[in-house]
Amino acid sequence: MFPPAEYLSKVKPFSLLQKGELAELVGKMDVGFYREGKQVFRRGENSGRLYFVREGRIGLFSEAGLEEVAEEDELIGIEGALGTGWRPEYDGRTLEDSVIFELDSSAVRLMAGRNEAFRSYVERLSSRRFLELLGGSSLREAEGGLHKPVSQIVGRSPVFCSREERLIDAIRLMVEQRVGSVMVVGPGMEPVGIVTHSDVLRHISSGARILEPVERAMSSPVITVGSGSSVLDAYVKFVSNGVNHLAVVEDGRLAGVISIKDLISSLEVHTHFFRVMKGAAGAIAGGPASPQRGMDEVIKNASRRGLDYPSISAIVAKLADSAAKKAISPWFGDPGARAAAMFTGELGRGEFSFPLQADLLVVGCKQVEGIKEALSEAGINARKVECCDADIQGFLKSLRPDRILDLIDARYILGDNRACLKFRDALRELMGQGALEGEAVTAAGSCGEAEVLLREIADTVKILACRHGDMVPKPTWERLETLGSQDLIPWELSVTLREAYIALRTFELTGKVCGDQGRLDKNVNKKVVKTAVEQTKRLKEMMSWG
Amino acid sequence: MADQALEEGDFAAVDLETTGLRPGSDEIVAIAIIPMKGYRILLGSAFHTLVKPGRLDGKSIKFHGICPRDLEGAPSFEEVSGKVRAILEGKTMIGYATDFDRAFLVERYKKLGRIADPMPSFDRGIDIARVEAWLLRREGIPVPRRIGFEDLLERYRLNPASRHDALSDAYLAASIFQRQLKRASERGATIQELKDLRDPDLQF
Repeated sequence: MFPPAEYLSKVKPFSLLQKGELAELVGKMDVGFYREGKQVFRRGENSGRLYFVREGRIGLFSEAGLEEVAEEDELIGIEGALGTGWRPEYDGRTLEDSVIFELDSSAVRLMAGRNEAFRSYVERLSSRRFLELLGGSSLREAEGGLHKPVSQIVGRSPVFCSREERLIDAIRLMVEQRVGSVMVVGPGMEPVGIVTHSDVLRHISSGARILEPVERAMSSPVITVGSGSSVLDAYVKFVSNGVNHLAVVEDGRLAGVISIKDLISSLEVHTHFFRVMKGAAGAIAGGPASPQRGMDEVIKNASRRGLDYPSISAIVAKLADSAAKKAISPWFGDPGARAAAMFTGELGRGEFSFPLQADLLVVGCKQVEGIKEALSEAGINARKVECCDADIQGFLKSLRPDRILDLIDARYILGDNRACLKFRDALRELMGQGALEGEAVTAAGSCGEAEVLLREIADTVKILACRHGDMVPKPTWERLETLGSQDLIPWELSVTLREAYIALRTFELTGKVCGDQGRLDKNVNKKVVKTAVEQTKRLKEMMSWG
Repeated sequence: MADQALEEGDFAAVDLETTGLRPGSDEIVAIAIIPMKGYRILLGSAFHTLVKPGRLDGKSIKFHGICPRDLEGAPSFEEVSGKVRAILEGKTMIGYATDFDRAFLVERYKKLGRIADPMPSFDRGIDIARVEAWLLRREGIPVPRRIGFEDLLERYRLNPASRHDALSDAYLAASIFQRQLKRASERGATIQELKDLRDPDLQF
């Protein structure tokens, strides 16, 4: 393959193109070598090109200065593939000697018109539906695997013949269509039998001839399943009848065929779900060597199997709660002590960082010695264990606003629940007195590190939710959803920022788990960060309006 | 064209696949030409074709991998000579061992000249191995006795998965020359100076 095509064939979205399509695209591009500081494109000028950084870096400059850096394998101007009017928002100048593949926008548009997968990727990248691009699957989807209709897992059109045709005709169909079975149908397209490889072998070995009618060799009756039946129904039929193929029927007529292989591959995501939960069960039990490692392995496995961040979070939060309960129960055995333990910060709202860390608040009890070590033995690295005695108000008033913000995500784990309610009432009262009034999130305002940006989004969203009276600990994406559904922020803003937040979380986790940021899709990552920064700015502006 | 500024020059990266090493008796089986404007490689104007030779023996197939069946339906050199001449017109040839490619083209056109087409006057080209030797010498670095194409690819960290296809090799030669252009222009070289480079010690 031609070297530039060979290179692009490994990078999304170009990897979605057919070999010929990619060759056509590459055949219309220029390869520019720009010395450091040279202008590649100008703000507002439609050059009719998309720029792919093959080597080096392009700095994107506004009037205020450098805004962003496009690095190797990044694409600038993908919007140009969707419409003719795209104009760069920035001046593009090389920050070092750079090799740039300059693609013809109209050729890219042509490919987008021809190739559905390519167009869909480009559109999604542009429409900010990041979660689809990440390809993560959620537990809800996995659970839904068994309940989806059979029609969704039927692939190609059925291969069939009439009962009067000869066996040799059925064999030829198997060879030509590369299938392991042929359905035999009656005059009304109703399935009457099936001929499989093993039927053919059995028939011939018994001395019969291949020129005989196919009905002499077929297995009959054939087991059928309605196209609207669930995958679970099909599974039951496979098992109870001991067959490898089912005829899918609609109004009694043959509509498709599913094999046991089709069924297994349709449950692939489901299998991941089971494997993750199996790993989780091991971690709860606490391996003899290192429970922390066990917990981290669950996170790693879940991430590698492609589950999205909220789904992994749901598993991890349950595991952490369960492990913590078990580990610290000796401190909370006395019901008269009116003491309770709560997770605060990230684990309080049901999110997590990798490796797993926890902040713990003990309310109504002064004795916390040994809790940190007990949690650590259970696989949870406790970063901070705080203690708040009976004087909750005094405790809260001694804190800085950012610590109060942190305690909003205090979530009950174990002990006397009344102690927690008392704590939350005191917190609500303090908030009512304007504890966070004027509190502004001052973290990153530009494309800083993802971790800083994530904290900024989480805090901003939390402050906004609190201002509208919602102090329930919950994940940031759920807070955004609530704010959007109650029209407290524009719905489109809540959806976009929610998508970007989850995508960033997923990127961050994948990067840490795999230890290889290079395998991540840089185009998506860049786009997500940019979107997250823009939308967070919008959110902050809304906060300042009150 | 030789008086153009080096960074603005019109170049054409050329690579040929041939049936042997003797321009007088061996023939061309593939031609690839990729025009360049200064630092810019213009793939949209690239030309690549297989060429049907009078005869093709087994010896050369192991080098270029082009089999007689691949050449069924390919045009003769005479059929593509006009296009080749038009695309090379006004440009400085660049490539690896350009003397070799140039000699083949001149020989082909000479033969055609006796038949129909007037022979174009091919100027000397720029050889990227000679440019590299010149750059190294200017930079005070010892020059190896032999600078192979693979050495140049390694030096400029160009790692193609496949090679020995005229179009790929022409592209790689153009990519090497892009990078050499920067160093050569920083040292005040002119197109004519690079064309005149000779190095009797440099073996190919």
